[in-house]
Amino acid sequence: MSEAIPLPQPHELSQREKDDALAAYLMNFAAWGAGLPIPSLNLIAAWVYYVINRKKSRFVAFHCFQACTSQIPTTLINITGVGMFVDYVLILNRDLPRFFWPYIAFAVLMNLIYLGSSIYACVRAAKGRIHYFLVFGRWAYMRYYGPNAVALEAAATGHNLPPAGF
Amino acid sequence: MKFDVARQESYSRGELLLRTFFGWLYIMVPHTLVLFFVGIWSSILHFVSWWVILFTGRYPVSFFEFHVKMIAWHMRLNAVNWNLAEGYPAIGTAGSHPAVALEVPYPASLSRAKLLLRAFFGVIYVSIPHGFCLYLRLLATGFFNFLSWWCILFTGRIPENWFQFNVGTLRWMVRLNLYMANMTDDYPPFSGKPTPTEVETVPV
Amino acid sequence: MRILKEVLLLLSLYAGVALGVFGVWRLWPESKAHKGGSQEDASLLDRAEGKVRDLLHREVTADANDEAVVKEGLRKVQERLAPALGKLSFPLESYIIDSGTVNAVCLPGNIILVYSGLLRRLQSPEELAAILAHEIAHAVHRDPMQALKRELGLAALFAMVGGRGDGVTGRLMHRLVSSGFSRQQELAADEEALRVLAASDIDPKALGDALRRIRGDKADDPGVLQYISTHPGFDERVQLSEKASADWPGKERPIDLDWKQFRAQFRVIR
Repeated sequence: MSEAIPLPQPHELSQREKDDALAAYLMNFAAWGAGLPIPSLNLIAAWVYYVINRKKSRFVAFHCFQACTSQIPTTLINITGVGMFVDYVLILNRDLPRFFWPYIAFAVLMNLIYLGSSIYACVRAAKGRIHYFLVFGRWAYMRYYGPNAVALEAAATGHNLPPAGF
Repeated sequence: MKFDVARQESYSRGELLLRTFFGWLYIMVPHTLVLFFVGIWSSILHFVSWWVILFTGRYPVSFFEFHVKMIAWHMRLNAVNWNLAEGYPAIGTAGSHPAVALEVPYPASLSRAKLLLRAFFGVIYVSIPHGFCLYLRLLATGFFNFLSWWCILFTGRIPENWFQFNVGTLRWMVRLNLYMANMTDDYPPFSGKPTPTEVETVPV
Repeated sequence: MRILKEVLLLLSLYAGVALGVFGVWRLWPESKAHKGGSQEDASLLDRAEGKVRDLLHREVTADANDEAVVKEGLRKVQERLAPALGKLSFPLESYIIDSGTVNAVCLPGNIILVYSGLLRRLQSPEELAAILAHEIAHAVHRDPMQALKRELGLAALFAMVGGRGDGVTGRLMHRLVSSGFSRQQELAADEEALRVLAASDIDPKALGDALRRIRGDKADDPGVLQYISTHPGFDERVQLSEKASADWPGKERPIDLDWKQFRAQFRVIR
């Protein structure tokens, strides 16, 4: 493909697509839903959701991809924070370093900013609109609507092919 | 909501014995293992659905279908474990069983007030009364199960009444499940009988 | 490329928030108190130590012997040891408490108490210097706070310190005086003390002499038992001191303090 795929407009999208798209951003809260306070659980849930939904529709795949990738920086920040805590308190059995508390404040702030933008993107997706995140929005667009967008269905030749050489 | 298990004319004694002595190994172990992980996913979707209903008044379609399939999975596992149906129960949400039928209509809209009511007071006005009655019912079901086991062993059949009673227990559990999972606003009746609009039996 | 522009924008967002948070933290009034003079990586324990020091200060200065002669004598001894000590987390303060107790203790916040029961047994200012050097070494090694934390648990410590009720300081003092340190900590403090003595032109055997005087002649002296129980490893310590003295190439420069006059300030208390 050498041309960008045109974006669907809200009236062209089914209710199901809008629901699936908005749910992608709610995977942020997956850890709460599962009851397991593991920082990477949100990212895993978002990734699983992406894998399940990426073949369904381009609009849904776009949102799932954006939601999943934009989680990465926040997840890394959270893992670092938890890792520091585990390391100092549980493994080394020492007191927490003084920079730990400002770091936690930083992590909380970044999480809040990310959650806020997630919810905004969620509400937009529910209406069949698109909100682009910094960097990840552009990346998701290039992947699903750009000139070199991925194909959703399997190649025309089908899934099963003879072994090489035949 | 339609839930039914088709009663067979005759049940295999061999399968009965196999299930009784080894069912824990070849049925429960694989199912429990997979159910554990899918269960985590299910609880995440439940959680997300709760918030979507709160803000939009609708259950996300894909999640609804997923949960219906989860319930169907649980019910076919139960049906086979209780010797009501035969054959290996399919693992996974994509599976189905010829004798077990579950149809749940998608609700066009759900009441937010009832959602909140269920969230904060569900334990009091749903879990406790139904829990208590279901507990007694399950005791009776267990008793009928026990009797049915011997019946199948000697005659290869289950009497119609006992069968319907046990299916009714499952039907009650489905209704309770649907209500507490926010998939319907209809308060579950204290009975396992199908309502007049539901299909009675699914032909084998 | 526009995506690079967005990457930069995203990174600057993170940097901005991080700088903002750390900036607020740095400028926060509390952290300033610890910036001056602290060489070690400050921790929660530091803040606790500051609070404990404030609490103890009031109590200690109320009980301490504040005769001019005594204060002058202590100052002279401290002055002699100061150059070899290096920088401390809190300013060093030593006091003498009029009491029959035979003990010397280092409290959190670098407050050192020598009880006159012990002091009366010493025979020279150098021996007093040795005792002080030993206690100061505990301060340098941050032993007091570690011991208190170990005994009370950090949460209890904060609760104790946070409470403004009466009896908090009394309990704290009692715990601190009676807890003592481990044998390892005692020997480590001795090593440091012997080094400090040697560097201050005092014969390291002063420590061994002081210990022997404390033990005295009577084996069942209750005062002695009190000292020994809070300062384990007695014999080893004496041996260490003698060995250090044998290895010491320096020449002793006596401290300019009239010991008889100094000691006479403390009456015998039973």
